[in-house]
Amino acid sequence: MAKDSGQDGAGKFRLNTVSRELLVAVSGLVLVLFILVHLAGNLILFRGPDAFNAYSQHLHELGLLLAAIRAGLIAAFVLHVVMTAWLVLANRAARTTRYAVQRTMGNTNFVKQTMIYSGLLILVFVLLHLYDFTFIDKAGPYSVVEGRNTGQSLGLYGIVWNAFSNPLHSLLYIVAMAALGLHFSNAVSTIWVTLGVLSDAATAKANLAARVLGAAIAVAFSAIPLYVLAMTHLRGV
Amino acid sequence: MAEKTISITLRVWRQDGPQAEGRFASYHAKDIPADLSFLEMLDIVNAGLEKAGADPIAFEHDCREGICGSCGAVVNGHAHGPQRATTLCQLYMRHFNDGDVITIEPFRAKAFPLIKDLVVDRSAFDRIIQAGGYISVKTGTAPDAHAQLVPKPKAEQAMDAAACIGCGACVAACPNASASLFTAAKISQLCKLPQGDPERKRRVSAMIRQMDHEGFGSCSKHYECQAACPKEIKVANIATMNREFLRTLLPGE
Repeated sequence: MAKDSGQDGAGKFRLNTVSRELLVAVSGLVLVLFILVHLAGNLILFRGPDAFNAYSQHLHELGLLLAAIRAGLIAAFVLHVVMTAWLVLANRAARTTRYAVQRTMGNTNFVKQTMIYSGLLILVFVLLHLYDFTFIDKAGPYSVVEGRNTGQSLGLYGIVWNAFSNPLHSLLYIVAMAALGLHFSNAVSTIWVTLGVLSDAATAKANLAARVLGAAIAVAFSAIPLYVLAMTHLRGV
Repeated sequence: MAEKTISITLRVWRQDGPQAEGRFASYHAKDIPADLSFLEMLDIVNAGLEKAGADPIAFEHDCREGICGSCGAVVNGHAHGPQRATTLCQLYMRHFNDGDVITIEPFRAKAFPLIKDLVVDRSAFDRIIQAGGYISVKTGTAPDAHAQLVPKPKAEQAMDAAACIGCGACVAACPNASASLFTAAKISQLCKLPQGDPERKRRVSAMIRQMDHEGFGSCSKHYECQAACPKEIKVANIATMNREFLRTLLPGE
């Protein structure tokens, strides 16, 4: 039997599944912290164009530090995606014949079963999001909001305003934020088991906190497109 | 007093051997006394098949008392059937209704290759144990019971983990066919006790390596294993396993 010995892998370094899970968890935790900081920054938009653009300006003035943070985030993101993909492929291979009837014992749920899909949705969203708001010329024609600031650029604020005054763009954004909220809530509730930090009882409490936090970030992120939509489309009513 | 009986239809996975093509076959089980166990019901069906000159349904069993870990099948989509904290042999027909159609499938995992019908080869579990699920001691006279102090909560945790009978229901119920709960139970059973301490670093690495090598999936925290486990082994053991693994990454003492 080829499988008789566990020794044939000795000497060859290979990242075991637990190591891969730990890397997914740690990189995910970095991304969670980023999301919270990102959200705090976004909410400055409600204080008007000057405050929001000044915040964006301050970030860019960080220079090397910003470059280092970006490099770290990209590393965490790539690690998160690559390790997850590796785990998922191995998991799919672990059951080649499917059950004719498979029922849950009541512990798994839709969010857990669709983590990979919410993750893929977030991946696509991040790429579009960078294209929409990060790589765009912040003083370009798309930053001019019709009827405001006498036709002058409103900077990043203007870009965000123009993007979200398009209902389709706002809708896609809100869908992505819902996926993020779901992905986030399951991630934050299960990460403690992966990291070996909490007992079952403590995890049950963490679950509730994670759900509240997940819902809160989805709602808070979505508040911006909803605000812009309300201001541009309902004002005249 | 007349015994309550039910009549049911079984849809059973029949497969002559590891390489053979499998298929579902239907059998009618008439007037089954409701107080029979699931395996006794299968015995009656098999007796009928043998009388008719057909091949009986192969299934594994030994103690029929819920403690040996030999039996197990996926019944209507649940490992060991729908009743919690129960092995298949301890599931009784009174939990089914007259006229039910019951689908019976083997535990499905690449690391549990099918032998025949409902019998799968679970020796992957043995090899995980061989990789490190033991302690090395010189045998001799038994030490005094109070020679090594074990705090009560640790003893309880170790005993709870040691309740694992290695039946494989965790693997069968896991969407990833992961053996994390089994491996973690064996690791925490030993690492919580002073006897298991000296080999703890080598043990966790070796057992995880063997678990991966056998082709089991990894843990995505669906908690289905915990719900399917006839001995109610908790996912907290997986947290313990991961913590044990993290310890191996720390610089040596």
